Amino acid sequence: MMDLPATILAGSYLESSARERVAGLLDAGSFDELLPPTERRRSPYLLPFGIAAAFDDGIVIGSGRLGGRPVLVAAQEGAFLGGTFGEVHGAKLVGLLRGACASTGADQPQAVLLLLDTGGVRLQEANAGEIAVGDVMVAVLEARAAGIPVVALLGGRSGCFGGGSLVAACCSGRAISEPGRLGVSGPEVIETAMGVEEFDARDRPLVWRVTGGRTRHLLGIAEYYVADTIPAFRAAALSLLDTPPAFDARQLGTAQAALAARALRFPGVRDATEVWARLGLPPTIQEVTDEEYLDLLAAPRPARTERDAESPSPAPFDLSSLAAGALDWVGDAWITPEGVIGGTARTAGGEAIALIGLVHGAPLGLTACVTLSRAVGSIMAETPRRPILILVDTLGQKMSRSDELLGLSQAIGQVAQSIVLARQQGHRVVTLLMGKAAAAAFIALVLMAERVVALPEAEPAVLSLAAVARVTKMPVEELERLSQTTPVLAPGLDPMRQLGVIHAVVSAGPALKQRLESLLLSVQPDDLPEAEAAAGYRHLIAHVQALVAGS
Amino acid sequence: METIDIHHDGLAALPGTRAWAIVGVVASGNLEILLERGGEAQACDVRIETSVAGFGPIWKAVIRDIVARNAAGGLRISINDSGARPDTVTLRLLQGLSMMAGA
Repeated sequence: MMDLPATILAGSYLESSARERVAGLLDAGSFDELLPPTERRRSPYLLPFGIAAAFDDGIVIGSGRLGGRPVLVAAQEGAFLGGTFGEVHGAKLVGLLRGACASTGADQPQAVLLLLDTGGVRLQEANAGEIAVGDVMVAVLEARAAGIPVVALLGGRSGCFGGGSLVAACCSGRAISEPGRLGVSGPEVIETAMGVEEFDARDRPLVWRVTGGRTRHLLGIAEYYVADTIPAFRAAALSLLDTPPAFDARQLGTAQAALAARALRFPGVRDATEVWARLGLPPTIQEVTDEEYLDLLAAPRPARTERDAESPSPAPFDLSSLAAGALDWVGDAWITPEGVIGGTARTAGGEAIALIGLVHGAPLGLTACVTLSRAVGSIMAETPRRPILILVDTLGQKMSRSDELLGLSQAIGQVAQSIVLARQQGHRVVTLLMGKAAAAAFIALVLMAERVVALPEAEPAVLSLAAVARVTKMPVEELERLSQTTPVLAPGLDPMRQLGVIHAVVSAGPALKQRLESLLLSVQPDDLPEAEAAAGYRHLIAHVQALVAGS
Repeated sequence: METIDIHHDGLAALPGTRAWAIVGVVASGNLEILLERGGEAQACDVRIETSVAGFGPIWKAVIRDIVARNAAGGLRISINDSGARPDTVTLRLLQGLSMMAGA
């Protein structure tokens, strides 16, 4: 066995390892790995599950050059635990992105390349992974706000699902190959939750029609479609570097309008075949070669025009019906059929607070996302710096083939971007977690806020222990025992509080209102004691950040 | 999980100057092998962490065979195994030794 020859490195991106992808993508010999496997930064949480922990925790990070320009790069190894986000894995990525902003001088990175190849959050350390995904998204948006493009390359064997899809949505641009699937909930997850009629995960052509690269590109969810080769991804990365969109209200507004137009243009569409027909593309589009596909798109074609659907109008909403009447501020609010609320409240002192939220346990679907991110956009445009309270009681992301097809990851990503942009523009953002908040909805509506207050009955969850038990083949009783030893595993309020994500648990009543008002109206968020359980995570982030800034 | 430590002495020194190399990935039926230059020039230390317990004798035989046929002195080998077959282990080890002996 020899070192892999260049001809193999120039081959399939899908079949290559994370290290091979990085080596082939960057200028030859330019890659300098940070925290290489010799440092043995391994996950401490896998041993009880009988899993050998990889020396790099499934992600390769470092610096290099692309077309002569200094760049930072992170590549997930999709073959190790599905490229999932764990604590170490996530800290490496967060540190890299934060370091990008902190670098100065001639070697300041001109871009960050994210080679995402992930099933999402790692079940064995789900809370840690979930928090890391949120931190990665914020760090991506901070890098973009500092003028550093962050580019997502999607062509790995695990696709890009769960939290990974939200990270991709926050990037300044995306390139995808047909095998590189993109979605929030994977087909198996939707089938398990909603039944085989909703999504038959064994129907592979259907899976690709919904999540595959061509559909993602056709609908505008990924900007570039590329062949499954490393040079093709390199060329796309170079192009994406040259034309990065700014991260600002105008750009976000344009993206939101495009998504809203898509949702109205293809209401309830359940298969890409319907999209192709509307776009005037032949039904054979899934079978043609990559070259033929791009030629088909370039050719002029008659698109069928149909009347777009109309947005349903919101109804008045009584704010004091929430949180056992604790939120009896004077104000007016509305609610949409999808459970999205919005409005304005005034405190006893007459200070205005902007409200948005998702309530009554409603799922976070595409239409709800459009309404939410538009509402935040209006708050930013019309009432600069007004504090924003996000009220959350949601099942989690909507498990729907139609929503996935039309770009739920992009939609939830826009909600997250709106909230982070509002923070960057000086709005205080506080979330009140009132009931459930699972998975992607937790990331977007809870983790993007500066401060989180929860009612005692709130139930944040990444996944239930029963679901973790099914996948890890470990008995629930054993998982419950493990949960006593670490907060990274089990769902619930207390673990999330120990990890520093939920800052206060307050019962409904005058104390709650007082706490919310003080958080919302303070000039600076109050200082918090740093969560002991997340100390290792924070230290690793700071370490990587210092390495990047010093390199 | 099972951890297996193996030490071999009196070996021919590994040529080349490369400080470390990694091959493979921890995935079902696969393994990752980290090779690092260091220690005594005639010794080779191997640590295996495997998710499949009870195959110590086979690991020892595979490693004995590799160090007998290849210059592996001055090398520390760390393996994270997820149930790789012996032939896969041998191929990965040879791949790693070849990388280390190169530039």
